[in-house]
Amino acid sequence: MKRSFLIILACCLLLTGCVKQQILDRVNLFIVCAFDKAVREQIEFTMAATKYRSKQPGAVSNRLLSNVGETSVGIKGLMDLQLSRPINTGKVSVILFGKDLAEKGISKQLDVVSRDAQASQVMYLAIVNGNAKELLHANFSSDEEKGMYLFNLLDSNVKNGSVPRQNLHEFEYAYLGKGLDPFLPLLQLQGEHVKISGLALFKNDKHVASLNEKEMFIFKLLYRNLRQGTIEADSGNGSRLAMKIVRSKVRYKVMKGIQGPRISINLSIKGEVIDAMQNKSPDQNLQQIRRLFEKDLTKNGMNLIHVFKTEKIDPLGLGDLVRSHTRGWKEEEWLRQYPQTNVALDVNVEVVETGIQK
Amino acid sequence: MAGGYELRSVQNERLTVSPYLALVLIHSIQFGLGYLSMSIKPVQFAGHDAWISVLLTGIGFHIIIWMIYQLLNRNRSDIIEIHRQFFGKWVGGALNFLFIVYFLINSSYQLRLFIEVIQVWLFPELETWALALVLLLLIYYIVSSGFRVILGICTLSLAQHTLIFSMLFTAPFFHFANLKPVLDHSLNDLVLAAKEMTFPYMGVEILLFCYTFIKNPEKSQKWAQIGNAITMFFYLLVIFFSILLFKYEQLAKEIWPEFTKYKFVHMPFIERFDFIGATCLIFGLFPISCLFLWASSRTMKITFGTRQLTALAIFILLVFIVVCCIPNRKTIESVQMGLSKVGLVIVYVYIPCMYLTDLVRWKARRA
Repeated sequence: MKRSFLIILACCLLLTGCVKQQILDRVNLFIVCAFDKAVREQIEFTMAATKYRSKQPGAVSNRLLSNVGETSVGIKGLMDLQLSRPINTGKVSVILFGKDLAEKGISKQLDVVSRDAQASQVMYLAIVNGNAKELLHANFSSDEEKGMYLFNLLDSNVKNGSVPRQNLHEFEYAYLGKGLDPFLPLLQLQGEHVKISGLALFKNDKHVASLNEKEMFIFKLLYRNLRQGTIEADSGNGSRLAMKIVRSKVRYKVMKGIQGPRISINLSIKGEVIDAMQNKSPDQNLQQIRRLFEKDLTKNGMNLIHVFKTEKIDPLGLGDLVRSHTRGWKEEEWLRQYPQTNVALDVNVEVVETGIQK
Repeated sequence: MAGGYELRSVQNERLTVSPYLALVLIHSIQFGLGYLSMSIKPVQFAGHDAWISVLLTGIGFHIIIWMIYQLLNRNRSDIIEIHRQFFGKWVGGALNFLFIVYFLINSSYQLRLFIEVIQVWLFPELETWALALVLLLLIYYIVSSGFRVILGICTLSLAQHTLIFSMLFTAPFFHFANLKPVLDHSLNDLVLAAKEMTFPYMGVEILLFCYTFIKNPEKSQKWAQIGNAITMFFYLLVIFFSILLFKYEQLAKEIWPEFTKYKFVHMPFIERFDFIGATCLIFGLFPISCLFLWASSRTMKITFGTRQLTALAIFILLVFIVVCCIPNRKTIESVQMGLSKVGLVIVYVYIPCMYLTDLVRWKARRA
């Protein structure tokens, strides 16, 4: 009895080798892929399969495949016919969407991705100003794999730069959640280079408006607390001032108004002036500089909020904020109130240092 | 029947476990695989206030455990004997049989749930029967070794809680505003959500069956209550995690929101952390399946006089058949619905009724 039992157990252990294997060298991993709009309700799916050349360490290049079809899963089936190894989605880190498709809505494509058990929840999404396939075909990274290059581009700009973070999870959160709308970074091809040219704003899953680089950073200031970045302002006499942000804090307050809620945003920035010291009397000048920045940020920030209200989009999540302060919050009621909601912005700039010189 | 309450109240000391192990027993049988999808339904009723329902149900279960101990301490016996004393040989035997059926279906459900997770997240082409066969062989091996070994496995299963640290990867995405405004839902909603929370807390009924296997069982009540409190703590973590990380509308789309946390893990040396997470779920499966199968085979032995190992082998075969007969998500869901209804009856009707009946009998005998 005991012996036969042991034999069965040993068999179970050995039979585990019969499960389908996925050896890294024998599957086609891809890091970036792109969706574009094609004719007649169809989509064009582009995949940058990685290609490793032996004997040349670090030499990774891409093989680009494109196909047109109705569904991305069907297209993947077509691509398998062109590849010597099966496609695996486990390593996708960046997904690009062409602008035309983004204007039509990207929820269908995202649904496929978020249904996939292998897909990471923290992958980056981006909109391409133009055609995503063309961007992938451009030779923008000579010595790096294209997917890794784009991932690092987005990742470093989210962590240290002016791009507000929005990955697959956060996009879904903002898209499905009530009282907030998603946004995504906007990529653009300039000659042979890719750059982040701004922010694409969404209403539900449709791209409706864009912000440029400067507006994007002001948006990021209003969106999250920061510990990096630079801001510029007009000095009034034609020259520009620049300040490095050491720390910025944004506080939202909701108060009850006569008609609907009133929102006050308090942005306090501690910064280091690095490019403004033409004057000899720094003390008086610093006060002036402070004012200039405060005025400039308030103006631009209010402009942004005005744009959001007229477009009836809510990337800052003001609706969600009001929800967390209101009992029995209703989305329809908020959407009616939103364009008339009183939003006040109060910016407080403090110059803490002036670089390593007085 | 006279003086029936000192019947087989004490097991051979070699077979019993220390009272403090009641903590492990209660906690590990409650904390199974259900927590992966636990937060979806309460959140549908009570939204971001669902954590209050978790507390409510937890407190409810503290009372239930107290009732169980009152009932068992007075009779100094396990429920199998109490059934016979209260209702006679036939009705008591039928009640015991119903419990056997419930235990078998419940352990089949847990097993099928585990296999489903493996199929969806790791190996889609894996056959249900193959994995079920391997697991059931292991379960037979564990259960046939006796109660003390099963509790050893339960203790080992506590290791799964180290995975709680993987939640840290999701911390940057928490939205604390999701918790406000507190108490935005009516009491009715909270009660409905608490009703949905009952199923994850189920398992305490095992105390009715293994009471005699605890040394000085009266002393173990404190530990059982602590075990329930620990479960409540972990369930609160789970529900807070779901509310902070997801929007209500997102949760409605998820099947295993708690499992999605592994999709956030991003480490240079391991790309797919869900493989580790899914494998560790076996720690949630074994205590439940083993204890339920042990309890049903023991009930069979005492009520119908079959050999325990024979009964166990038959039950394992039955579970195997049932597991293979549950084909897809929809069926699993309907089995769960049925089980949670049975659970509600056991917890809120059966146990209080038994407690009251016993109280009346006790009072009558003294008068």
